[in-house]
Amino acid sequence: MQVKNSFTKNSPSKFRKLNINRVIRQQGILIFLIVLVIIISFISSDFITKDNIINLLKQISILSIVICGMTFCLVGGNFDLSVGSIISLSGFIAVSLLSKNMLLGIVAAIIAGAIVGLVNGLIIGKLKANAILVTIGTMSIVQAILLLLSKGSYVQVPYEHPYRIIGTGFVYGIPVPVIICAIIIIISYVLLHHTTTGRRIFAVGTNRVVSKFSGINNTWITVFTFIISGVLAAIAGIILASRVTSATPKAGVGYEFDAIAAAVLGGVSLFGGSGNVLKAVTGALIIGIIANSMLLIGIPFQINLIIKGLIIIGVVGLDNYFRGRQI
Amino acid sequence: MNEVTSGNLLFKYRVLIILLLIIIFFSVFSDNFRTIENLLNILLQISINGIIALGLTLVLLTGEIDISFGAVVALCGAISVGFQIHNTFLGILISLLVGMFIGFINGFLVTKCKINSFIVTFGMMTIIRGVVLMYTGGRPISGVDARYTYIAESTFLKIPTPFWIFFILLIVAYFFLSQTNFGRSMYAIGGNSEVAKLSGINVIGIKLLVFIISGFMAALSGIILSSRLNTGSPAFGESMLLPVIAAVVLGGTSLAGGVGGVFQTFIGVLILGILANGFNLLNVYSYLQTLFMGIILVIVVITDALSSDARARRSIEKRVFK
Repeated sequence: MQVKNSFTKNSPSKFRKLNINRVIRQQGILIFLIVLVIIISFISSDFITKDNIINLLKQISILSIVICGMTFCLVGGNFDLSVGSIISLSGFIAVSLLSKNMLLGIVAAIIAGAIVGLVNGLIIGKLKANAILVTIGTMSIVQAILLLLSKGSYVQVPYEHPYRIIGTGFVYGIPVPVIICAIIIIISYVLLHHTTTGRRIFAVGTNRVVSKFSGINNTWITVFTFIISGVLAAIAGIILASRVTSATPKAGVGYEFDAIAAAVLGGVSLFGGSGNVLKAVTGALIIGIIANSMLLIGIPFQINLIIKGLIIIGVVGLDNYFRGRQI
Repeated sequence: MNEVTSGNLLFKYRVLIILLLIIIFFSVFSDNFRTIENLLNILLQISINGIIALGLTLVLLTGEIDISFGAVVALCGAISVGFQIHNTFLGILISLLVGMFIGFINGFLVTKCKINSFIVTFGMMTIIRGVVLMYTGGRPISGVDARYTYIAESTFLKIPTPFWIFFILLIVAYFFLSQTNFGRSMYAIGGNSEVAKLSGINVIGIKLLVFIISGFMAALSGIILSSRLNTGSPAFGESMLLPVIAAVVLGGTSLAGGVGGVFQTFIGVLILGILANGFNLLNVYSYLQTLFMGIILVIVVITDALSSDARARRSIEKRVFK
């Protein structure tokens, strides 16, 4: 998006009058979100309440953090399917080290995420290996290591331990995970859209050969995107373990596909070079609102799944229709 | 460029070499591995994933992806078991038709509505999971017709029927890809969809067909899986997603489209199937199995990347410096 915007900035089309079609084309996902909120608030009076909104933000904060990292990878032209296992791993490390030192556990968990990301990035960036296969491989390896460490059982956060604040605490009435999530979104946004490194990620994702000949270190950029993705997944894992007050070896299963789906829902291209952190998070918001409102309205889980699937396909379809092209 | 060097040969048959190494390894370390019974057992085990992998290969060749197959396996398995109280054959027929119908919807949304195939099939997967839970009530359902188990249990010339089905489909798909216009068009579409369209290839029709075939294969695989215990479970296919994709890509079919083939997929399926079987025979813990699988996958991908990277560099050097 950034690359394209810088091209259109100087073109005469910018001076054309603002028409409604163009707004829909560019902000389709946001408009859909607003329409969705309006419809649901008519159906359920509990939706627009302070408690529910806080609850909703709490629910999506973990997924949003993972999505920020995933956006870096996707924009750089790669997938990271190992985030689910990193979430389980980091939660487990953080909780098992609680008896020694909480800070040590958190730092160790984040470092573990960074190491998995580094390994992914080095294999993919340096050796130009297929990202999907490599991350499926590291996913199985991490999962196996985790099962070895945990012997298949879970570890619990002690009652009234300060670690619980990370997932369940409040600051001025705002849940701590939401604050962490907001900070991460802002940092990710600035990093991806307003720094040289961010522009380089777009360049690498758009065309590796061109970016290489422009003097960009493709390997370093790829390693960087995977480390970000690993670290953010680790942070998500720490928050998740704190929120559910225990860490299981399977805690993060399924997050990778939810994260990719939400990011694509938010208009991030699966083929690299295009995407926006804020729009990707909007995708998470839509998925979160759907899940939340289904619960409020009292729709059973099976039908919830069906509606979720229909909306995911429908939103992207409508977005395509208004933009008139494939993402 | 066509010169035959040992390096080129190694590169061309790299996956086969890995397969041979794995077979030699297990033959040396496990007495039970190199028996005829175990070989037949492996053939039965790989058929279920193999049939889906064939369908997925065709989808990948045209540059699209289908990740809804796991859910289709669960739905079609459940339908064909659930229909046994009415008519077993009708149930099988209906579940095949349902699979093809789901494939058609996927293909329609991808081609006509131009929605990204990852999103379409992810959404479809979610929808079908919901439908399966509604249909089965969230519990495994058992069949009433004992003849149904015949599909998976029976043998022909001592070889399990599911493998015959897989093998025949493999041959048909191979013939289809290499000998017909349709097959060549698939490669053309995967290579460059726009150029294929301008050359007069019916891109929409072929992609639609490919998705229908993929749905059919998933349904067939679901029927065979449910026939092994005469049970349909909503949990079927949940852990199938990554192994099947890994097998196809391991074989050498590119996720970007236009490169690969069904025989390569067969090799990929064989590698993963033999690994799982061999580890079980060696009494390796399941988490260690996952660990080894992951390590082997990463090593294969690395060697693959290294050799293709070296090859690409050589060819560029040739073009630039000579």
